[in-house]
Amino acid sequence: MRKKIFHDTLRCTAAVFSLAALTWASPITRMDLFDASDNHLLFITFDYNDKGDCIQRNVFSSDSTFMYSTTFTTSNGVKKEHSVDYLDNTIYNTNINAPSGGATAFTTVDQFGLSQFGAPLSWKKSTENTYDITQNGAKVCTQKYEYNADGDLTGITVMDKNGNKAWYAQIIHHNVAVRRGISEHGMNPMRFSVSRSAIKFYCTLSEAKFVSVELISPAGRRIESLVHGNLTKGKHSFSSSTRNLASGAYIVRVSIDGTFALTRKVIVQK
Amino acid sequence: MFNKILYTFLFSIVCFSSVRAQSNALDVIPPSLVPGLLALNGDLSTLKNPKYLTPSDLALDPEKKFIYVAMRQMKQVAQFDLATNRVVKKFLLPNEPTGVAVSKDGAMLYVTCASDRWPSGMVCEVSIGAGKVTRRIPAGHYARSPVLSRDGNTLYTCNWLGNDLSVIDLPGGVEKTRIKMVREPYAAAITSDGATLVVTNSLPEQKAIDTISLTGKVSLVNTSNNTVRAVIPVFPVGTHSLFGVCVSKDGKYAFVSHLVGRFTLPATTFAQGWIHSNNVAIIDIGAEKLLNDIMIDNSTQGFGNPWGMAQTEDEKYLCVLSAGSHTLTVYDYPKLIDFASKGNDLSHEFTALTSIKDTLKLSLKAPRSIAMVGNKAYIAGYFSDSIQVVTVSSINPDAGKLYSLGESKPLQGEHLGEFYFTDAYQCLQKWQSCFSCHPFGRPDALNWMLASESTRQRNAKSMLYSWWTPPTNWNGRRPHAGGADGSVRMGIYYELGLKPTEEVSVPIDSFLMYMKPVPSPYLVKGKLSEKAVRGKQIYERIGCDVCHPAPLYTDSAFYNAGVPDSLDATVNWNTPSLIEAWRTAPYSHSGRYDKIKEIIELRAHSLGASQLSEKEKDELVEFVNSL
Repeated sequence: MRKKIFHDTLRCTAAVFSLAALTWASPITRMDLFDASDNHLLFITFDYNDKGDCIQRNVFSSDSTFMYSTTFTTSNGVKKEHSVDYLDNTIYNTNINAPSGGATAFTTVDQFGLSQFGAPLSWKKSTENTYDITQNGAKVCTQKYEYNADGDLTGITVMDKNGNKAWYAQIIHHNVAVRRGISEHGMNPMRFSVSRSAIKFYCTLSEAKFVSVELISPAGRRIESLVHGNLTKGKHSFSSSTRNLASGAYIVRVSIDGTFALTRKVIVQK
Repeated sequence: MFNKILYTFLFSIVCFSSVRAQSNALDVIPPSLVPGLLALNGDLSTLKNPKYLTPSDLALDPEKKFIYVAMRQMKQVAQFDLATNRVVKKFLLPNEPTGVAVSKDGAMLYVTCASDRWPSGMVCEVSIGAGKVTRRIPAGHYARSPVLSRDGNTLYTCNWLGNDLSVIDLPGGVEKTRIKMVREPYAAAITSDGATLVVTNSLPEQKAIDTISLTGKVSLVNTSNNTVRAVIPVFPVGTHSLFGVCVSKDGKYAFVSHLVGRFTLPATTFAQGWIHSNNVAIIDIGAEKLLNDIMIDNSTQGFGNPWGMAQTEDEKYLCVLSAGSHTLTVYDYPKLIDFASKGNDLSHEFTALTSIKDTLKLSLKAPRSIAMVGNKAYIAGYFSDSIQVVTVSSINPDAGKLYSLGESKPLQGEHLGEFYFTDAYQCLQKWQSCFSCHPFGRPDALNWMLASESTRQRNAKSMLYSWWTPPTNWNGRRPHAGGADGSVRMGIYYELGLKPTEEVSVPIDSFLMYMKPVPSPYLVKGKLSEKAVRGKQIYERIGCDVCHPAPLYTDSAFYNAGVPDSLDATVNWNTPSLIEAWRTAPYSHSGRYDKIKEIIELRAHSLGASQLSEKEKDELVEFVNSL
């Protein structure tokens, strides 16, 4: 009986970690913004540091014309966003203040300190995943965040003050590229690149390591081993065809010197 | 029991993971991001930018059932039903609509889109039935004024700040070619036989010291082979701001609205068009020459800032809008042609045409666009939210009625300031507005002897960033753009002849404060080209950034840069900002250079720049033109 309980526990624990891996949010790499008539207005790309923190947004008009980049800092509970033009000259500064009375206020000024909204805009959660945007107490719009079953943010719908759908955003996760270093294991930088035809893995090792990189199906089955062996210090790259894979989510599992290091979801789109 | 606990544990972890996932997403895309982005992009209405209708162009459908209204800030085209006089449908666009044309079968709209934030122009093909944009076709920088060929297969767009014309093959959905224009092509119209496209170049391209031949130009384009067949100077000297054009029904004449800047006279009075008069050029298309130039103004009152024009369908009347004085001037057309053909110069003649014209004050603010249905003129004012319908059955038309285009909002803040900036009511006798010498807040490309300068000509300056780069004026005579002795109030006092009020001056201050540059056409997808990157390195290496440091590219100090000036040889001049130098020629306080390269080759201006190789000079110029 004790043996059965032990095995049940083991199986369940394995299942938990498997599911937890599946529901780990994958980095958002791009957001496209549309109006209610499906006109593509602009898009944003997101850059991450080696720890997986989003460190920069880049705004482009829909014909890929660069508009500005934004970086972030936090100080005394105030998140500050700093936007620069193509010459790295400041064009906007945004302050996002800590919640007050349940609402978070944000203000954008230009490089001369002039308010771009006229008065702070505020957001407050109204219902699950829904946020009301107000200005001077009057509703400006409402936005609803949409998630898929894996917990990934997939879209945002913005309703005008009358409740009509006015804009929407589509979110793209790391099906284009994922950058994440694993400094503590001597692997930095590291990058996945997933295209229609191949999954590629790049890394730089600070010293020789035993590295294993596996592609796992959503059901937990190992599909492919990109590398499994001793790698020397320096840069390495490996690739594997995705031609025989169906579109969908897969897991990439990286272990270094036999120690589990990282699990990331990748999306194959065909 | 054990399994229940285990599965509860499992479920909790899954839920925790899900919550963690959502938390991560909110870190990357906080609820402030999308509304902030929409507000900065001019989509979301805020207290500062309430999104005015700003009707900027009108187009009539072939069956004359609808008029389509391009509404810039709304990023919409409205379908206005002529039977019910109301808006029945709206079409959303990805960028601000600058002009609209209707396909021959009335099924499609071709809307030019561009804005100060995103000036790389495009044509949006809108299916009227589906109510959506069906194709986007790239055009040139700040595309506007779309004109269809007679067969409906080609669309021409004036690439206003790109200085060229796009020729777009509509079935293929591609730009076939670009035709170089003179400078800032703003409006176009096609002859009834489709053979000739008449394009107005809104600014003169010459050096401002040219007092003999400095004029705005009209280009005639052969549509059969897409070549410029004639460039016609619009005399008298000093013509600029050629913003409106229409072609007579018989295809013989083109009418071009414009200003005449009498820049060789000291700007000491206003009477009888001393500084600016408001005129219409009559172009003989067949002869490829200026037939005559007529003054719209009366001897005691100007009709500032002429813009859109149209001829009634019965060919009896020509209608001319004046956006600054908010008026419609109607000419008896046959008599006008008769007068104009007699050979007398009518460009500064107040009495000859008095009996064949009259002017109606409209209820609109800044009427710029007009569409004619029979003898009914449908007129839209850029700072209004209505269409005024005026019946033109004589030179004294009835004022008609106003019909709403949408939600009415009171003008406020910088938008109110922009209105006052263009409003000739802020000038004694309405001869001109701030906009007359500073179209769109930029220079008119002329030299002026201001009232308090008396004897010296100075090149008109851009208002962009003037608030942030004091003092203003080349000699720094005005310490700031704002304030009691600043350029705004002193400009109203000296250059417009009225006592400035805070009610008007403060909104103009706001307009100047908030002005933003238009990204340069020299940028590649919004960034410096490789050539410009090399130019930036040269700029920093030879020390251009000492006097023109980022971010405003001026140190606001005074230098004598060695620009030849026999009258003021020893005077130091305020360093101009280089932002938007690509559109503000001619250069220097005396306007004697029409190219950046001429300036950098001046040894006294920069020894380092003058010693560069030709390649390096070109790279440096590329960078400066990218700012």
